[in-house]
Amino acid sequence: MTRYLLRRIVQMIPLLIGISILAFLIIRLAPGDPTVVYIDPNKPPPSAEDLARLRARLGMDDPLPVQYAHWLVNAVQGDLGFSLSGRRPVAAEIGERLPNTLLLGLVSLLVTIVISIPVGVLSAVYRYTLLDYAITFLSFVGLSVPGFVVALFLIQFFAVEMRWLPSTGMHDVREQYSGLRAVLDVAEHLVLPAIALSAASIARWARYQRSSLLNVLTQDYIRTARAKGARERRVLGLHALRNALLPMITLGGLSIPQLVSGAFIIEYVFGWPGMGRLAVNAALRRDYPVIMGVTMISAIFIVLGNFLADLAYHWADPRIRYE
Amino acid sequence: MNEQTVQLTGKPGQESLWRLTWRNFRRHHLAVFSLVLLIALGTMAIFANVLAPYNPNDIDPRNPLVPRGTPQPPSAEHLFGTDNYNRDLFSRALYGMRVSLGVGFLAMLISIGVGVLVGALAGYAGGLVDNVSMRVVDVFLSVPSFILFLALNAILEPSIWNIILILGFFSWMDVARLVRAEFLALKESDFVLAAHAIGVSPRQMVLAHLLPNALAPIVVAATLVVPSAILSESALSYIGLGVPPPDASLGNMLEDAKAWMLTAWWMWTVPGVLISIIVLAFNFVGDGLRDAFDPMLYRR
Repeated sequence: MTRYLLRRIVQMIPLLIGISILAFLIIRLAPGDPTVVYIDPNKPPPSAEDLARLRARLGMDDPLPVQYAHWLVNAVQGDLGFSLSGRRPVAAEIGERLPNTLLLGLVSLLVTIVISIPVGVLSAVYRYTLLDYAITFLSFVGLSVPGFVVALFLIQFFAVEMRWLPSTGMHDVREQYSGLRAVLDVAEHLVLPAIALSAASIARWARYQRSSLLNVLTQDYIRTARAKGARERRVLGLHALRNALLPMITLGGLSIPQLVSGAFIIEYVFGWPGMGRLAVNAALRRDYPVIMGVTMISAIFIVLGNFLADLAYHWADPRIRYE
Repeated sequence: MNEQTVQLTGKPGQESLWRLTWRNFRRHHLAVFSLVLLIALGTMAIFANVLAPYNPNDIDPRNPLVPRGTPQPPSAEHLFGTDNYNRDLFSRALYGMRVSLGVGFLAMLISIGVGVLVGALAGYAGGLVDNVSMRVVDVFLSVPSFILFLALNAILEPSIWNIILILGFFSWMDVARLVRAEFLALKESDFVLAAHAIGVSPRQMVLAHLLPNALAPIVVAATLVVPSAILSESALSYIGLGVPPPDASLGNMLEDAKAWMLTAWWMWTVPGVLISIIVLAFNFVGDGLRDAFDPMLYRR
């Protein structure tokens, strides 16, 4: 087990390096001069020498591999470069936004788990009934409506028509809350983005849970349990569900990239001050160090999430043996 | 002893797979309905220039003096209403569908091309080639691609072709994995060993023997790449980094609607509902195909 753990951790490193090379190549090979971000349109245009000095200082005259090595050495030490538009270190910009994105992501994951698993179980237990068909149809709808359209609908209905919930930001800008009131304020702002972000994954997870439970219910040990007279509740809760939850762990790990991508657009729609909004703004302003930083931090979470899902799977299913 | 007549027709193997699949597919009423719907919508998109009552980028000719007028609700003149530039939303929806479906379809072709190439290479060659290819797949799967979509679209000239290329080159991984797995399994089968024994060339082996047998998962994966490309395109266009104005796509029609959420519900309902219906239909067709191709499910 220890050897397996070590090997998996070591394997993550080349994967992350591969991701960073891909992102670096894409960002740097694209045409366009990143120095334009530095130029203040309100001042007289800089001379050619100034521009050349700036390029030299940013290391942009070096060959690409040298630039990459430079970036990597700094990044490993926690220095992700300097944000061109924010005029401060990228690490500081990301550090400020990361907790907000994590809050949104984790709450959405929780909402997904709490809703999708019971719904999927219901759908499997009452399969081929009206309830099952309704759930199946709704899951397909959930998979098909884009997250930001769900968001627009939620804003229209709950924020505009009903005026029940705020539609934008993370805090009420008119008030200066503290203590419990501040927590409630954030929670209130979190409701709509979290629903919009989890809509698609709830649908996907519920479908998965349904087929996984249906699969388990055809196994011999379920028939045995029923044959020895166990009540249906016991068969489902004790024998079937525990085994049917196993594939969900893998799905959880696989869902993280989608959660990250989804979070980006949802944050943009709701004005949620997270990494997604940072990335959108950075992309619009061609702020390369920020794009690179956000890409790598998100990649670390994706790779780490897959690793944790593998570990959880191992812990939950002792039949799996890793060498 | 009973006599049995056996009829042998031309190419029994290949023909019966497709016929069997079609027979199974037809049982999925929802999938068949979705397919018909998609064909209808696709035809409307192709003939958008014939069907559209107005030029999609023209301001309402009846109101030439109000270039930035208020959006008009659906009426007999404008079936889906108009947007804030008084452009006819029905016409824009037709053209937008053409763009969105086209982007999805072409991105799918790229992803199938790249995926089949990588998957076939990895599965056929095995060893180091396989190992390296699969690590590349891992990298592409773990990269937060949406940020790179954003960055690329911001850096490159905004154009429909760039979006197609970007979406295509970031969605080939599933196809590559499926093709590789299929090839690895097929390589052990007797007919491939037999083909090897009679000296079939590698090219012939891949094209004539391996690839046709891996077609089923490729078709299913292809069907599912289209809706995800359409969703990505609409998200990018919504942010303003997708299909450049004034051309309509279902995504940038939603972007236009952003400022009119409160007053003109039809502006976001029309593209929003259309995207959802298209994606839903592709999902149903993909699901139906997956079941139809699965011989374990239906063979009696």
